[in-house]
Amino acid sequence: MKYYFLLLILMLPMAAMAQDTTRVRRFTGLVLAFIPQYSYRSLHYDADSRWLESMRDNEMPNTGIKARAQVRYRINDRIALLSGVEYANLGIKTRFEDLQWISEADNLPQKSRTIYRYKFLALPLHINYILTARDNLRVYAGGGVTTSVFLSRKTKVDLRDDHHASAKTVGFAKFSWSATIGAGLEYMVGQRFSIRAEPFIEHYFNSIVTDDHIREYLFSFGLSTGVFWAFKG
Amino acid sequence: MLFPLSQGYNTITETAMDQRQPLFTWKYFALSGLIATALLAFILTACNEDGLAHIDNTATMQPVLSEYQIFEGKPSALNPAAGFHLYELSTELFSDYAEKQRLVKVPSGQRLTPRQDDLPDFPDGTILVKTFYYYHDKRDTSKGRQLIETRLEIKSGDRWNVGTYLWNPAQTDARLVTSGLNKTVNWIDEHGIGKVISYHVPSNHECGTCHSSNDVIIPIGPKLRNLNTDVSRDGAVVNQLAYFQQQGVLGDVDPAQITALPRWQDTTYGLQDRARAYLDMNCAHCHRRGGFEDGDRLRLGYDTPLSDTGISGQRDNIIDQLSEGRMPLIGTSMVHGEALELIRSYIKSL
Ligand code: HEC
Ligand code: HEC
Repeated sequence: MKYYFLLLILMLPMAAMAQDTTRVRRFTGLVLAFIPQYSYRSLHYDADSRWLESMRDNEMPNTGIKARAQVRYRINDRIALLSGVEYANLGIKTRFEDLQWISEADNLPQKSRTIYRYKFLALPLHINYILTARDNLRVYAGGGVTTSVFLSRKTKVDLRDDHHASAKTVGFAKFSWSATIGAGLEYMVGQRFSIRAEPFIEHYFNSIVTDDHIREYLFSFGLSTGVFWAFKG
Repeated sequence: MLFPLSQGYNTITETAMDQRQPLFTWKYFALSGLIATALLAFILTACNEDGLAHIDNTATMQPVLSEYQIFEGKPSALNPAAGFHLYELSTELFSDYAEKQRLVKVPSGQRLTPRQDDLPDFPDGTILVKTFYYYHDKRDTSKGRQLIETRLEIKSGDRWNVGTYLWNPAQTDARLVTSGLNKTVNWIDEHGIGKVISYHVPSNHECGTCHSSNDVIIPIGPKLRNLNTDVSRDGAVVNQLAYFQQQGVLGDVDPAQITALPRWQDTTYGLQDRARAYLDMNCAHCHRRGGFEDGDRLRLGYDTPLSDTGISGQRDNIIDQLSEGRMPLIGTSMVHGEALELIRSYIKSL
């Protein structure tokens, strides 16, 4: 995994340099994507902390979104690099649970759940590899790595009729790395305009929790939907 | 099927151009190498970064709280065992309306040595205990309480070690949690309103962030000026410092020579005194020299002269940060409405 990562880093400045040394048009266009997704986490506890795992077995995946703008850089006919910026919002929630009250009072909420939202600003670097192309349709495999900067985690208490929230900006790994793989379709609608759809999974490979006894790795899966505009020649 | 060239990434705009130039040059490899090394170095150093202070314990904390034998009988009754002394603070830290019980134990035959208004010197082996709980129904505390966590500070080898213990649902014992976690807590407040919060048990990194002074852990609450108040003990109202001397816990000190930090809710004190007492206990652990924020923007200790606090330059900012719940940086999940009112009036009065 580390080797793969390094390889991608090595490709980064290609965009800057190759432009100078060749006369080929390599920046071919702009990809804008809106990405509904589900996310969840995998937990790894050491022996001392394993008992904590059961405190979190009421958690389940929750919806979130990504929004992404990338420039497409052409390597050859089959391969393109996409690099740009991304906002990511990953959600995890607990199931609704009954609240116990010892005494009577008006309007006591009966159920509650907690929704966590991790927000990141990220630099995604992806590769698209065209598997096959026919008429206006291209089928491609995609993958890449993303460097994310943690912005905040919002905690929302949902009481069905009522809710309140708070946010924390510290206490989570400031930088995260994730790998994405997916496969997609790109359909050319006009000379310079295509639409894209790409199911994907993404896994973070460093723990969002910085404690020595617990590792918590986020992951998400969803459908990247987007458009591609070719730059004017 | 063979891949038709003209339908790949070879869009109209590209086809006309020369594509035979080399993609990789020595410049490219040199630059790549440099960037890769820099990024890798950055990754290695940044991996553990979470915006908090990291101060490691020097001694191991017990895995369960009962090892320390702090309470006698049913723990939820919060009866301190022999050697543990209850102490009260004039002004406390706000923690989402949690109730707190504070205890101190000094090794037998030893005492806390007063140092003016400040924290006393604590002998090695001192244990400070703070238990967080909520009454099920604050209108009627006889309906019992729910213990959430008990936080410990233990001085050993001249270093303070910290740990917090999460109470089990049966309320019979509590277990060490270093990583922090959220737990749904509900109670009925004094107005009969049902409250539900996602209570946050802090991680060890969080403890260290509030409790650090020049990168070592220190206690915050039991400064003599914050203990210099009347308390009721054994059916009588006594000065707490005098009482501790009587009990042999505290060395010689004349309470009259010690500043008394106001109780921030006590309206017999002036606005300024109340507000500064609140800021002292809720902000100054970070906002002072040597604290986590190091006093770069604000120095909010009660003994800092107003002109040195930086408050006047941050008047609107302070209100914004508080009302939006961005400050205190950690330790709360809601705005402390009553205190915000006080700080607002105070800032307006300046
Ligand atoms: C948001 C800041 C903050 C965090 C986080 C925090 N504390 Fe404290 N703590 C305080 C303040 C302020 C006091 C003193 C005021 C009071 O007791 O109300 C205090 C008091 C204490 C006391 C009583 C003795 C003393 O220093 O006054 C103990 C014990 C304690 N904390 C342990 C911990 C442990 C263990 C953790 C981490 C699990 C922790 N604290 C996290 C701010 C914090
Ligand atoms: C746990 C440590 C901590 C506590 C407790 C804390 N602060 Fe801060 N505060 C910081 C840090 C660190 C900054 C620097 C900015 C940042 O990182 O958000 C800051 C910044 C600020 C700023 C300037 C914000 C800006 O953007 O210019 C104000 C105003 C402030 N704090 C007020 C308060 C007040 C009032 C309290 C008490 C109610 C408080 N803080 C409690 C750590 C803390």
